[in-house]
Amino acid sequence: MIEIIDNAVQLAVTLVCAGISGTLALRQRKQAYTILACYYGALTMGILYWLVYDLITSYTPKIFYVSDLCWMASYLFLLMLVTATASQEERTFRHPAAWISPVISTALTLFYCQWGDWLENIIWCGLMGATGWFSISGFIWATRRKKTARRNFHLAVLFLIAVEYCLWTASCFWVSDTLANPYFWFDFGLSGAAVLLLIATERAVGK
Amino acid sequence: MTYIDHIYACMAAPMLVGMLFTGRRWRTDVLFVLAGMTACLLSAYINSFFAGVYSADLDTAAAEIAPVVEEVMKLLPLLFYLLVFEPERARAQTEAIVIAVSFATFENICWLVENGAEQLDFLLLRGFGTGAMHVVCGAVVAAGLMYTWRSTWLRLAGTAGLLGAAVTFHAMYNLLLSAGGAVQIVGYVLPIAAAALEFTVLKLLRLPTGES
Repeated sequence: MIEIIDNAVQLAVTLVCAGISGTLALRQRKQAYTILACYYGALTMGILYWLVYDLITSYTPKIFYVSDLCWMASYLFLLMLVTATASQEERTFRHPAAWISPVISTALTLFYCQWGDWLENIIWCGLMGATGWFSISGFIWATRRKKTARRNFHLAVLFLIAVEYCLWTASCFWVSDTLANPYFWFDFGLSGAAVLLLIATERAVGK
Repeated sequence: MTYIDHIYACMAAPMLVGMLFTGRRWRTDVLFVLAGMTACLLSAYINSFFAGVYSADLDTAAAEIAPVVEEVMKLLPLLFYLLVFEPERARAQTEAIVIAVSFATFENICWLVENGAEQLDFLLLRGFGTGAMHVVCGAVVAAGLMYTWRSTWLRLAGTAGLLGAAVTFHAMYNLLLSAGGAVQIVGYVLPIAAAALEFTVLKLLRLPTGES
């Protein structure tokens, strides 16, 4: 039951975020809002299928392809959002600390491969590692240039990635179908991170 | 047992012969009809293969494997056309619909051979349900690709997103049909409602629905 509530909350949050970013994209004709709307749209579709499947069969999907395809697309859009909204100076900025992201992603890929498909985990962690790499670089660049809105945007992206990694790790150690399971805390946290991303993007792009 | 490869050969033969006596334009259209039918034929084989690999029952295969395989197979000829021939937007959009329609038609023919054609009311539901579902998926992908392929940065993510949309819609339809009762009726109505909605949205946004 808690899984259905969790997914329903997440569906409502991403749907509202998709609606808001879609409206902003239509009104302001900014590329960033279009990508953001696509990000939320793809995320919503994946959750919608997951929820309907759970409601109809009382199980979660056993072969994950349908939702995974949407979620992979959504993280591709997130990667695009991070890179497409960066200025030329930010794009060319490099800092060794950014390599933390690919290193963590590689370690977690090897860890997750004990449970899931190799290819799927490599794609997931590759996307996360690349997005994290750009975001850490961007965060350091924005902090040095004192661009607060841009710095907060990268913080929101990094928070989203961190919560997603915590969620995946928690799913490897399934406790129970109750709220005592940390998996649900992180999943609710993910809904919050999705809202934060919308606010941070609006502040970074709207100016 | 249904010999779908035999049905395919029987249907494809007159089209191939007819292509010898027609103009280039008609030949291209027939090629896309054949591409849609071939995609349907290969999808059946690939679905069976994955169902065997994952030891999936009929419902699981219909809700989780078939939508992914079928939508990917429908997309491949269109991607080839876009990458190699770089056609005009409206032309590519029309061919995407042709692929979807021929895929649905071949699927329906195979279904009719296996189950017979006695119940007209059920056949109408299937025709307007499954048929419309394939067309809606094709139309969504076609309209989206025409937009996303205008800029390089959107190509990869846009294609993945559109494929995700088509696969989700297809999977939801299959899921609703497997539920039975009132949910099943919602499933049957969904494609036609989605087709009407998509047509209205395309008209409101003044986006092309294909070649005029």
